[in-house]
Amino acid sequence: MTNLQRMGLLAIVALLMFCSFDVQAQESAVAHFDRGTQALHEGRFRDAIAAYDEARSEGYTSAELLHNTGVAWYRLDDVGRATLFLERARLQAPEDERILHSLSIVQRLQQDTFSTLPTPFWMRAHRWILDRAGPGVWFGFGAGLLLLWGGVAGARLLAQRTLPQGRRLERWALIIGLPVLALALYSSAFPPWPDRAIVLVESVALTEQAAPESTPVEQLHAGTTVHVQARGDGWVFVRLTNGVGGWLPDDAIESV
Amino acid sequence: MIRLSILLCLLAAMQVRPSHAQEVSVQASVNATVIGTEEVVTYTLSVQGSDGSDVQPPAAPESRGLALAQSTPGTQRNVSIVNGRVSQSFGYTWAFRPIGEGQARIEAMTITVGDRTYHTDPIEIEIVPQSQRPARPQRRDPFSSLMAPADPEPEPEPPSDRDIFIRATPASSTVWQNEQLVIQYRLYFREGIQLRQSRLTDSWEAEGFWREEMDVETRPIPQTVVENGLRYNVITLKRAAVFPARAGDLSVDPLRIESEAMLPTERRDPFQSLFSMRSRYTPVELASGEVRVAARPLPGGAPESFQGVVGNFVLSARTDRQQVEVGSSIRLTVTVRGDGNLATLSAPRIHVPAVFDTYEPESSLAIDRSGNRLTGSKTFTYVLIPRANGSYEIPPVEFSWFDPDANVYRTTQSDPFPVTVTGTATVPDVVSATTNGLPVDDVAPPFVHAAKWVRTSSPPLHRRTATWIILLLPVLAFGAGLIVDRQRRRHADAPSLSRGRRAHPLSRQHLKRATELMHTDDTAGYFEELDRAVLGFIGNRLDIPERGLTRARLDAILAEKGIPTGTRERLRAFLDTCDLGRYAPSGMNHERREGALDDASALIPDIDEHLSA
Repeated sequence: MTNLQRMGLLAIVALLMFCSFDVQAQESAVAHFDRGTQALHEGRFRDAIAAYDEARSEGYTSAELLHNTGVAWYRLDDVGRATLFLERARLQAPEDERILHSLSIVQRLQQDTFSTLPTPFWMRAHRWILDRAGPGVWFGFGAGLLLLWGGVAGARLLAQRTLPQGRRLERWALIIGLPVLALALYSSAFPPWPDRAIVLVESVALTEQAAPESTPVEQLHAGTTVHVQARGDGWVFVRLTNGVGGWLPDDAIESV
Repeated sequence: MIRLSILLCLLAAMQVRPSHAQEVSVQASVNATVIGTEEVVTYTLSVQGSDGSDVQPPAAPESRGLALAQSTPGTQRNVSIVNGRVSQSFGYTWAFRPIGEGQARIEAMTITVGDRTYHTDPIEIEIVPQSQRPARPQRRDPFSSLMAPADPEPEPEPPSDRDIFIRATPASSTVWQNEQLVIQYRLYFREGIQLRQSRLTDSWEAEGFWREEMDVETRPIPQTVVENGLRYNVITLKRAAVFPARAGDLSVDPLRIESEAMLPTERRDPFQSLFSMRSRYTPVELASGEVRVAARPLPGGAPESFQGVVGNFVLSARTDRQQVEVGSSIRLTVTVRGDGNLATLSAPRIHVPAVFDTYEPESSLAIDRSGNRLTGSKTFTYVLIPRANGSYEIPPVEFSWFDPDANVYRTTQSDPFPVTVTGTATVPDVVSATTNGLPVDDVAPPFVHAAKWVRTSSPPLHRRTATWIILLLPVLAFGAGLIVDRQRRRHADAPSLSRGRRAHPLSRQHLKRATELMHTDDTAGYFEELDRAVLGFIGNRLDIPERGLTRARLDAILAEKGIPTGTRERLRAFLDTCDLGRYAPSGMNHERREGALDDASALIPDIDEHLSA
């Protein structure tokens, strides 16, 4: 066995071991999920939350796990955390009826209602595109086109042979693939949705300055959604959906 | 209002008698503070709560502008029994005649009752000309009126403001907004005055106040008080608790009544008095003063649970059970007791876990109007229905108020209420379901299985290494293709380059094949491969055809390329060995074979080195 063959074998073994660890972690997450759901059915809500936290600590999560965690917090009358986990569940499964229903029920308990500013048309278009498919899908599509271009061009150069319509295929794969890839990477770096965060404490003052004694702008309550604009030393500058901005203590909110 | 009318009617009909206190008190009074020059004023010193046995007879009081009509005082003893309680009084009376017109005065006097000494107040008397006084009826024989025609009846004298009036007494003139203020309306009337057909003339208004009526005695016993030297009977007409609804200067309207009053007369003719009684009542209109109240606004810093009540309160809360089935109700009863405005108190906000359905609380109010202040309790009953099983805790009920005595906000809260909900945690019957089977007023039931697991620590797309590797792959493939294509074009343009590049690999192939044949019987084949390895390398390296090349020609070319003589001689010897091995293999033992292989392996890099140099 040559050195090359030995290295190849080692790589395969390492890959298999990695995959086995990964599968083991996922199985462990599933076990914690089942345990949490059992506790949730039995009314042991804090036990359920602890089990779901352990499941996520295995490095895995799911829309169902996040939904159940939100339900457990709802049963404990914590509107802020219930909203947070149900919003996270909605990110994982935007069309799931049960998640949307639970979220609407929890939102009824929120005290704050603010008007919403209109969204610019380019941002609406951007969102519409990403509603069809996420950045990962667009990236896969663009990368596939780029690979097609690379493969066709490489084959043409290496094999000295051109497929039927090969040059045209090569050209269009590049013309379509590059903008799609740019869209995917831009959407990943600058998503059209703001960095949303949920107020977790029962009541907190939105202040003009990042100081506790600063003039309060608004009084926010648990479950209210804010848009994070900047983070400072223990303070976060946020905007409400109506455009009003102010500072909140860092520990009063948590990003979705 | 009805109560007040009844009270006034009863007042008109009742026989007015003084009440007597149990403790000893001394009062000095006169029958009139304004008299004519020909009239007599009677000074009465009354000792309440004594039968006179322990009273040291006092000397006549000093006076100014008056002369004592008699040096020996008259005495009177009075005993009354009211509701089983005996009260008694003892009094002395002196008569004074005016010396002249003007201001007169009866000085204060001192009297000893038992071992205590009491002092009275001085009394001012105004003496006016007799012509300014009403005509005095003639003293007549009681039976003469029956025998002779009666004298024309004089016009009844209307009572003055000093004879009968209403006094409004607020507990304070300054209160906090929404603080309780009790106002008492008391009717003062001189002894002997009788009232009848009394009624309220207009409604009593207190704009800017929440008001609550308080109880008054329906059959009051007048209290006797002395005001400015005159003895009055006093009864309470009305009591009201008012709560300023806003801050600022507020006023309460006067209490007005109409009545008919009969003044006491000095007529001694009982029969004429009896038959002329009706005519001697005169109509009177009475009104209290307006009550002005300054309501201060409540200070800032009110707690979140403060609902505006002012006073002193006690909160109590309880649940009717601690264990309940899913879908069954549990009652949380919250009671607030105190002396504030309970009528307008709304239900304290409770923060029950969301798993409980809550309904608007029922409230009941109990007010005690009989005390000095309005007190009472308000009870709120919350009905809670759990929708899911589990152990819950209903947080403490919190209640805040403003304490006007300490000028601070106070907050109290109950204990938390642990509740265990048993039963099946399914959608209860009271909750209907949507078309999707989801409960209308509750979150969706938990998922039992997770369909898709994703990694929690996946960074965004643009921060993943794999993203950029995938992007580089087609670019690299294209670049490699370009390089290969360019190399191919170069080699096509210069074949020597291609042969030179292939020289080493081909020679290595031949050497490898020779190594494989070394231990076989194919000696000719072995040397054939060695020959090809070396000659082929030279041919490819120099881009010359090695086939048909003579040794001399080869030597000349190598010499021309700068290969040293020693190397060329070794090459010739090697090629000779290879020829011998191919054509006379029998003489080639193992050592010679290995030696030829070593020579070939050494010659190729040696020649390559010199050619490269």
